[in-house]
Amino acid sequence: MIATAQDKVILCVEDEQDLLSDMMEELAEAGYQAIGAKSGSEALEKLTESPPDLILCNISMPGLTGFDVLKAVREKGDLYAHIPFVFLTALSAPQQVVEGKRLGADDYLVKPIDYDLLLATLEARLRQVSRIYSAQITPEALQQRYQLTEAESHVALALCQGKT
Amino acid sequence: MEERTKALDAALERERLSSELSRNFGAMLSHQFRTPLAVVDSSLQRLIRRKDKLTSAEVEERGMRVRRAIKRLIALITSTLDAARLDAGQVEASRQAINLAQLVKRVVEAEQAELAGRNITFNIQGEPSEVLCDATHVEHIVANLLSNAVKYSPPHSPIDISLIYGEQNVECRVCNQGELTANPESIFNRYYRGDNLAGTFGVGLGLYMAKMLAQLQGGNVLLGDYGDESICFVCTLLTKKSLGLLTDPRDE
Repeated sequence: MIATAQDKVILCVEDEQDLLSDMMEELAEAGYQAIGAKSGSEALEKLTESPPDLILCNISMPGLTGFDVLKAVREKGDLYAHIPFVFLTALSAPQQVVEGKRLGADDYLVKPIDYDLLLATLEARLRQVSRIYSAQITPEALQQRYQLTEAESHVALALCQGKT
Repeated sequence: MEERTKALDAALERERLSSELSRNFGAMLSHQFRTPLAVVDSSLQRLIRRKDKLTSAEVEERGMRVRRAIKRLIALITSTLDAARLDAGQVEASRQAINLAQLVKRVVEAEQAELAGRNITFNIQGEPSEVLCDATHVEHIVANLLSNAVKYSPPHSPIDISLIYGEQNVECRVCNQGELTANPESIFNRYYRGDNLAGTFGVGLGLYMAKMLAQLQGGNVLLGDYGDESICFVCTLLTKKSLGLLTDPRDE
């Protein structure tokens, strides 16, 4: 199963208004549904409403920083555990990259951001998530969990994988 | 022996602090320069990608955006270079007798765009006399104190400027509402920036420069403490009446 942009929700967190609106335009044109947040606390509010498919987050922001947002997301538990977290940053020193990775960031894009690289990074991260999901769902697991017959479990699996 | 160890420890601590400062400075400078560059680059990428679909109004909007970001970059480069010149001892101060009230009013006029429609009150205490200073440097100091007052106070809150004339000195106080979140001990340090300022634009040179420029003219810039709920920065300068006490050969 390949991730299609159409149904994916990307939460963009960026305090620089001009950059936020450009990024959201770019994502919308690529077929994503982009949700914008101008601060860490606004991001946490939007996250709680519903979990996005991916989070794109600036690090240096007034108030809650990108590191704070990442920690809060990782503490939210199962529903949020699989969401890829990509940092956008104007800090390029290796120590910040190390700290971000240690906290559980999946990727790192250094400003100025090349939009082709941004889109390719998002696609790769989303593809990885759906691969992990497909690998976890087997007919046996479905039979056990939902008490399905073998035939039913194959139909269910096909549905999970987006086949109709 | 014990004294020697103490001296070494102190030297080590100084070294640690200075390397920490230069590391923080590098990260901060990188952030401050890259953010406006990112805005320029992003706008241009969007222009190229949408070249066939843009209306002329959109082109203009993006052009203005790029120009705003470039203006920010130029201001950053200017202040970084000014500080370097100051540190290298290449900045001199002339001393002329000027009317400080007129100078302050001129700065307020010139900074209208920065002041974001704030209400500025202006009052004079004591008996006004001419002030001995370098007008260009004092304009720089007053503009810096004003822009800080706007940056670190609640939106729409007023800013109060007072000139207090004494016998040999004059104080120019610039006060704004709000609480001081920065550390008063290090607020005048080079590259120091208060907590929670990641999103505001600057490199932590403003107050450092203001203080150094004031000192070049026999004055100073200090954090005032008047026991009320406002933050006041004070620039002191010499009045013409203090002339008799000066030993500067240029004034003879």
